[in-house]
Amino acid sequence: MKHIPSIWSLLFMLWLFSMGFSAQPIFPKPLSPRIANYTIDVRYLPELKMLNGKEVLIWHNTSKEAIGELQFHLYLNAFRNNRTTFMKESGGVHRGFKIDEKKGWGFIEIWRMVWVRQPEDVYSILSMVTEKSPGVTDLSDRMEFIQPDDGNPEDKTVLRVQLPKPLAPGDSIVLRIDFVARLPQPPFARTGAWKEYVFAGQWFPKIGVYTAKGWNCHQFHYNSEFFADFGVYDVFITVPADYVVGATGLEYDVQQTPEGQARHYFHAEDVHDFAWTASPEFVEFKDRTQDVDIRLLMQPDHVDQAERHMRAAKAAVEHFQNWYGDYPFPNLTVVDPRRGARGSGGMEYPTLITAGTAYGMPQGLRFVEAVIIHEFGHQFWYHLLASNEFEESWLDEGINSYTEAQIMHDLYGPEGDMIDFLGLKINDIQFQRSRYISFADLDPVVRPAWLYYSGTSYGVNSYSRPAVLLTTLQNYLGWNTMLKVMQTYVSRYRFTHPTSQDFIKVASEVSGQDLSWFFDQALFSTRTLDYSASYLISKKVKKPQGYDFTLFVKQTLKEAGLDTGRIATYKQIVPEDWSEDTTLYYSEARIRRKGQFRFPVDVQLVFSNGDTLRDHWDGQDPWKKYVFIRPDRLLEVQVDPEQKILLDRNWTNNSLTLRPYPRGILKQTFRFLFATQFLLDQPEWLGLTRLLLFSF
Amino acid sequence: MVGKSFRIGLKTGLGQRKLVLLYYLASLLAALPVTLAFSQAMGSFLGRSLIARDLGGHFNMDFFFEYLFFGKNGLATLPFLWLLAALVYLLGLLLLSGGLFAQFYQDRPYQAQRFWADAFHHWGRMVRLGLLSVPVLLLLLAIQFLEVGLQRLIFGKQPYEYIAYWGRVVQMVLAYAGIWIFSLIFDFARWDLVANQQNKTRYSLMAGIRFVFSQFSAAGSLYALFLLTSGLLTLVYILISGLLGANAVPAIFLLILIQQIYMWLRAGLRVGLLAGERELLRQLGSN
Repeated sequence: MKHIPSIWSLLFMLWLFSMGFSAQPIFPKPLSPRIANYTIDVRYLPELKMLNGKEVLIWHNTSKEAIGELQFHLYLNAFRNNRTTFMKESGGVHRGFKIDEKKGWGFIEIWRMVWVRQPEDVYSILSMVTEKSPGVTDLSDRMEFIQPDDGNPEDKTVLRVQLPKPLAPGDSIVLRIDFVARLPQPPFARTGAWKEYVFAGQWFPKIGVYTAKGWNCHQFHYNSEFFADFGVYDVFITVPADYVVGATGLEYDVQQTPEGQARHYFHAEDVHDFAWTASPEFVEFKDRTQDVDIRLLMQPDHVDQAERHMRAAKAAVEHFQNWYGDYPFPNLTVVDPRRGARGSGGMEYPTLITAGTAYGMPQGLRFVEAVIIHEFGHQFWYHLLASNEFEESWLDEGINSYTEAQIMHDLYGPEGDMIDFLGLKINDIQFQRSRYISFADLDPVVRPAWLYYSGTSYGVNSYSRPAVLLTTLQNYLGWNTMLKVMQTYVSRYRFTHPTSQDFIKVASEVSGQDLSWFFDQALFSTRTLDYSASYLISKKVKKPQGYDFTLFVKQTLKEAGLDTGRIATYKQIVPEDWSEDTTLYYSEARIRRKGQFRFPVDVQLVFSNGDTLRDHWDGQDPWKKYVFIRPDRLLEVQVDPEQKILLDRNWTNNSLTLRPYPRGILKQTFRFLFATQFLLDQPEWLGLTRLLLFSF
Repeated sequence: MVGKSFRIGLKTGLGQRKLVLLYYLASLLAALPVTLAFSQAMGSFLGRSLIARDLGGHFNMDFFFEYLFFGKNGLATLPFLWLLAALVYLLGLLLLSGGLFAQFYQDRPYQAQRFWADAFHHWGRMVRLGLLSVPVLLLLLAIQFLEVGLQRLIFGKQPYEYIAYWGRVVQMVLAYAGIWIFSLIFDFARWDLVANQQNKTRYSLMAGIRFVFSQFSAAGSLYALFLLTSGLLTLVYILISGLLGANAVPAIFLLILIQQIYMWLRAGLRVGLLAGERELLRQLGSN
């Protein structure tokens, strides 16, 4: 038979593929749609920091349309020169790290792309196919760079390939792509090489996501991460023989090459990205918790912190599995970036995360723990629930920052769960809230990542503000309901591309109430929330004087026209007759909603006899007034006394008291005085902070 | 010799209550304006908020962050006031040192009129000496950078972190050693200035340098003993103040008292060191 229908040839090829490469599949059944499947053979050239790669991509058109073009991410081209969109937006600085402008630029070039129309097994395609092979269509001339986001002609991070014939719905395409790439030095924006260390992230031509709206393939921006389809990855990495290699997935095999190098074979299923790292200096540690094998690749400098890393990784796995759902993958690799290469630190890839520490990091500075818990959290919010980080970054980073704070609190709380050092105690969520306070109203949370006011606004709205708003929601719904929301969200949308609306739908469904009023404000507006206690008085009601005067306390307020909808009146103790012994106080408290964000809130009022009244205000009106005529003075009014609403930017103005509390100011004043006296006397002690700064 | 100087210095330092009071007041008064500005700014930000009640206990970080952001206008003047405090304190110490050095040098008891007359008599020269000493201080501080060069020479530009870390520790030790040596030089230069009524302050500076390097073990040991005592005092303070975190009026007052007693004792050690130095000079027959 001359012509084999493409679907059968693909099945045949997949069968060969499975026989040849993955004799032992990780999962008995696919967990994801497996739309984009890659087999890559890459050789690393350490002297040049270059990658020489061959890639076979099998991509399935699962849409309902015929597709006439393909779009690819070429992320490494963001580091090609200083005119790319990434470099222009970042000013050449990412998280404080810079590329070496003399010799550190990176790039990726596809020098051949062919459509293998009569596919054989992947081995043959990798080793033998050229543009002249039978049944092959050369697409190299049909490639062009496009700039869908900003039209910057200097940006070459998105490649479009026109197909000679549209790909029918349900059909698949097999491409052989030959590429060469150079990694930035030192590692920059999560990827690169430095000395003997290499961390390859976003390193291969990667197809975009075809959605109902067409291709979703954004340029690589300073403020954005990624979006991709799930698939199976088989990657052969050739590096010098003494290199220790870590990568996404499981290592199935390693073979020595005749040139004295080692060819490592990694296999990963149901993942949407693949990263790898290699260094002859890695020191390996292994352990296991629940059903997950954990492998640490530590720098020699940090071997004494290996236990700390492992403890955090285990705690992360356990908390996530116990709280949010099953982590289906059998392993996790934690990579400790090399000194001088921290630009590759604090990043997540499927089954592989990078941390980051410094020699001498004090135990009380729990940045190592926070970063590992955070990066592992991405295995859920970025990996299992593969949301579009270009367009809705909060679904990954924000939810993850929330869960990170919860776990840090559970592990090291209640005080100083992130920093507990030299008397300074800061919780993770306090840190998040401090960032939110400063940039609460510049952007809505949901916004394409490159359109935020600034990098800081992107950071606040993608990380801190969602953490704060979800903690507020948790306090509103209760821990158990919130946990159920998260669990349902994970179980329902794992191995899909959920959106903000999906999360809102789940939250409303599980809580049994329409929460769109909350999310509309919290995610899609720049409204801020600030309740305040604005007025408090309590004064004696004057004795009846003059002619024909009668005081009917019960009626007083109504007659004065004060008993309106906004005014709560409490008239519980009212003597019928005024006597000489009677002392009554007129007390009035006013509270305000200063921001536009409406949120129900508790109000507490405390009287001089110790009576405490609680009210629940829906926060719809701009203010509410409380008026009392009682024998006791109203001494305190406090909005949100338990500080449940973390979205409230200013808790200091939430209360008013008629009782002075000078001791607080006194203590802080004398603390300040003492510190000033001490530093005036021996300013050289400030020099000790130099050691501390080393940790950063 | 050093032990005796230390003992006499300590005894004198704690015995000269009026001198100690002056040194204590110098730090208190210099710190007061910036503290009052801070207190007023915090008080005005707090208003009648109940947060004031909680601040009597541990410092509330949520309040701190809100204060930094919403109260930043009130805090704007603090850096300037701090610099002013440092300047006032420095000039104040130089003023006091004229009176104190003269009193100790002449072995006479404290007399206010005489003390202040000497203080103002020597003040100008003390300030000149201070300014002239700055290059010496910078030179001594620069010694720490030898470590950087040496490290780069041996280990290259990017050594292992533990090398860089311990290198930084060495740098810090060198920096502190530089500061302490400078303090000794400055002290003995002032002794020379007072003893010889020296108008040419550079001669005093040279005399101070010569003395410290020729009598380094004795002068350095005496300084180290006072430093150690100061360190022990700080340790005791930390232990006691750690017990006084409660949000209760007695605990707060006790903490304030302990803080100021600690500052008083530090002033005593400062006076004691100078008395010890005087005794050392006497024993060495230098003056």
